[in-house]
Amino acid sequence: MLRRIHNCGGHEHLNRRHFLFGAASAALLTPHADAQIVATGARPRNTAKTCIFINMNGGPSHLDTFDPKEGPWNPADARIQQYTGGLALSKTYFPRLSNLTSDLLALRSCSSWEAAHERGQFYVQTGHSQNPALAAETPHIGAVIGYERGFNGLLPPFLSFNQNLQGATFLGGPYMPMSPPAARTGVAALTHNYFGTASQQRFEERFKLLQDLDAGIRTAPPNDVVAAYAGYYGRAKQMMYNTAVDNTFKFSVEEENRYGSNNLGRALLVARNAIVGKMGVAFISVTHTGWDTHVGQFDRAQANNIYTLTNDLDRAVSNLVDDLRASGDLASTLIVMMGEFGRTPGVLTSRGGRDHYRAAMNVAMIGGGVKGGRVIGQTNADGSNITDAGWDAQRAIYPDDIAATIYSAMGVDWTKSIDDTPSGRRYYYVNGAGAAGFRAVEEVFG
Amino acid sequence: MKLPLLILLIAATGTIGLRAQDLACPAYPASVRTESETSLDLDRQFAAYSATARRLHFANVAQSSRLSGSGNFIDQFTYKKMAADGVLPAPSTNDAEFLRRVSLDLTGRIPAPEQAAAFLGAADAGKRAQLIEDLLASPAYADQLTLFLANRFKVTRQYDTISTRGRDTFYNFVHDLFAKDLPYDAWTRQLITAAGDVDTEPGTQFFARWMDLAGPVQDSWDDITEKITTGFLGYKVECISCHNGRGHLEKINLHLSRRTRSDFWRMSAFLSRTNFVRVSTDPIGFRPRTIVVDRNYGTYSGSVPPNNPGCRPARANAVVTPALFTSGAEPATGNWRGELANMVTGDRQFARAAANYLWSYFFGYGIVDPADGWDLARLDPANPPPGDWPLQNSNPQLLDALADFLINNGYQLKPLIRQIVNSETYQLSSRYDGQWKPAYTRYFARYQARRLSAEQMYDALTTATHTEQPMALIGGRNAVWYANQLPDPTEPFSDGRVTTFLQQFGRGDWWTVDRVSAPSILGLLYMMNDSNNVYRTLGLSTASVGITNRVHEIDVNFPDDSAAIQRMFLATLTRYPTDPELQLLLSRRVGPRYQWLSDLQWVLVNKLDFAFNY
Repeated sequence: MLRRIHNCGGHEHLNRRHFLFGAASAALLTPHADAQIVATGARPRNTAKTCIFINMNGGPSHLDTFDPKEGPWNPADARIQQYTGGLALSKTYFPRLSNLTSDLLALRSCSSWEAAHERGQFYVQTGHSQNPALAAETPHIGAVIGYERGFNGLLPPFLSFNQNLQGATFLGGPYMPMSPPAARTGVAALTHNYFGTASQQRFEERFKLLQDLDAGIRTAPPNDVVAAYAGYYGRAKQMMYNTAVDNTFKFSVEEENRYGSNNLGRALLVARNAIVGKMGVAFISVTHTGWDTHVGQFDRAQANNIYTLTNDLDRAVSNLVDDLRASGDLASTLIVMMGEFGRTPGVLTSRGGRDHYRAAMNVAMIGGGVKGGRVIGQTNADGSNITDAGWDAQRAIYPDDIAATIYSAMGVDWTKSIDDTPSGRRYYYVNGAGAAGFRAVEEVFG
Repeated sequence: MKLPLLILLIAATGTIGLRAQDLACPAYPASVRTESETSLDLDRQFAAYSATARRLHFANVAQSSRLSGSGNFIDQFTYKKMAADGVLPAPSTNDAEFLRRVSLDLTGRIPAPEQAAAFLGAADAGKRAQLIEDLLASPAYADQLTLFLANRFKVTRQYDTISTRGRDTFYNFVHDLFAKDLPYDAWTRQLITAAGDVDTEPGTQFFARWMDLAGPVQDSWDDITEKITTGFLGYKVECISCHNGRGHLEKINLHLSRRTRSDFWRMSAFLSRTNFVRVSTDPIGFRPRTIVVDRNYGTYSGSVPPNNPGCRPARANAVVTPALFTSGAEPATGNWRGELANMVTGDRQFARAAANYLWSYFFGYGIVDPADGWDLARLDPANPPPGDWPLQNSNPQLLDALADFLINNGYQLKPLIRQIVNSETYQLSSRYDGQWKPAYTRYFARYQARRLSAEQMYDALTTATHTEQPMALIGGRNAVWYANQLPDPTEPFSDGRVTTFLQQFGRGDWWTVDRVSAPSILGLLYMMNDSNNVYRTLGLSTASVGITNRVHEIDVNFPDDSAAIQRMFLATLTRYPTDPELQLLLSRRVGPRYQWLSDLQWVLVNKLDFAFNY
């Protein structure tokens, strides 16, 4: 079954190639066969309008996050508590999320394909293996979602904080992640703040003069490269002196303290603002670094240890959940917390930490159609192996399945593929998707 | 409860089956692939247009072109082609367009208003040629062309391979090529045979940059071989470093589709007596030590350490001796790398690739395009490629004439550059009066407007506003004043104002982030509103970079408003305003003089044409 995608008409396609090919070749754009999308027809759940993906960069220890076990490795103050639905959390690590367990879903039967950070991160970000022939053209999940959902507001559909991500590749510039700074003062370049109270008026006059002087070249640009550049002025201008855009990137000291004065808290504040403000953002990637706890993971003298990492996550996410619930957006916002792999199970290593581990890892989800207060899957007593897959595929949940699940929640048919990638290949949203292959974990939605 | 083993196996094999597709294929970057594809599209359009033009006798339309009277051999060849196919060239540039274009291309910078006024005011018929001589003799010429070539080798300081000192050694090595106009063939031989300490031996840094740190030494030989063929001979061989061309490259590169992996091995074997000794790394001080050494024995063997096989599929039966990829010539002595250097620089393809690279730098497109993606089976009109493959060589006579010119001038690059920028073809306008067809690109019937590079953008901004500031460099080099003098993309290391600017405009890092010319919304917002940029355009004492900036200078020295506007146009856009522009601006003067002058300065540096070389 073959069908043409609705938003890939001539103009859109032209733009796509523009951004992709850069200046030199964009001058020569010629009509080209449109991309064709094939789908075998999965039924996405479409439960979420936005996905906040908290990328726990470094590989979080499953035993010390959402799959804790009693064992000699735990510090004396771990205070692991059992909750209904099979959930367990350390009261010390997650004091606030411990009160939100009815929202929380822990997927414990996950497994990673990779044990190296770079390759693992690539997998988590794209749902694909870092194949050297294809890596350069494999888009981030957020770019695919942006491409599917399109522009629905003043902000581009894909925001990213704290990490340079795999971008939109062949899907084109509009779906590249926009990576604004997350700071209380907002984005300085959104205002032209040099003339006191007259600043905005002065800018409007300047911009008007600029447009008037450029009228000739905009009407008759010497080539397509100039025309493309001309098109950006309007978009940039639209974002300026717009209270909604401005407020999206700003927050108060009190809010910052509440979420935690760190990169994670600040980014999640902007994410919250974008969602509550209905800015049309579909995917927000927020990277939380420091989870690569090889050494002294319970040593409070370490800059990043399990206490600080979990507490920071706990504080920011619990407040985010509270705020989204209050604004009525929690049910339509999927929050995913995961890293690129698990960490060695059982007792700590001789260096007091845990090393990279593929066989078991965990993923936590809240909101956006997720049925909380539950776990999916089980690992054994020391967290070294999956003992119960907990879903109908009866196998481990891989990052490919997580990608399909996110796509499903976001209303994207994950069995789709796009022909005619830059290398002349076909890009599958999820490689090997299908009833017998990778697929959305339907059990997530209850 | 254990997971059923069978199910796990099914899941695993199913998965592997699916992901095994092209798993062994090396990185053939999508950007390169698409560039080839786009070029191929254009080649097809060119071939189709040219055939139609001849069938329908389009000739003679262009007879009145001024190209026809030019004494420059370049114009004779481009004119011949255009006239035969009835393609009318764009009008010639006016003096202002030419001044800005040739200054940007030869020096990376826009001229100061004093220079611009003098040039535009001169009535001398030979003033363009004289300007070219002045620019070619200026130090900025070497700065700009060094950046152009250095960007091809991408040597940057790295904690694990190349020290700051090694970086500087390489930069000076490239800079000397242009500053002293050294013969490019001898310079290339020095590079290909470079050995010894990467800190001090010019050229060794190229090997340190492209060696494979993690894999077996064969991966280093293979990677560097690809850089040598691409950099000096214009063709890529990376694809067949893992697999034969057949079944892979039929739609990409006709020549490579007929070549085999063992052809590649024999080329790579020239490097198989070269090894890399990494003495130390230094994550803090950027003082790693690496030595490039040669032996007089050894050969290319597929034998790799089983625990570290590298990124390529097993090199089954690979025990080969060297043979040049194109001719199959074998080395006469055991100094294989020296033999390679002689063969590469003695190959006519070396001169053709060099001339084509330079042509592409000045015109935005190669005569064979892309300049780093030659298809050796699509070059000879006497032996045309089969099927619907178009010739890739859009003007064989011109290309050979340029190559001969380079050879006859002892491989000095400056005479060839002089010849190119003096041509009427280079001096055609980017405006085109008739209906432009994509196929005309292959005739070079107009100049292609392109966005300024990140470095050109920064230098144009500081030159226009007269707010140049020194940039401190790591490693004891003198501070530089222009971004095109920065020795690599890690500089200016401690000056976030400059690095942020260059990053916003797509400088890249010569490692994982490619140079890009596409705009971004945040980038434009940054240009319009970031304090470091806006301060440069403020007048009076509000300008934190000092009151000697352009706005103040014009405010004081040009009391007449029309003259002030004209001066600011000249300083920023290298042209005088048109009458309508001048009238518009005179009618929009608001507030104190320094204020509307400041507004105008901001408008001009944000103007669409400011961002372009056109």
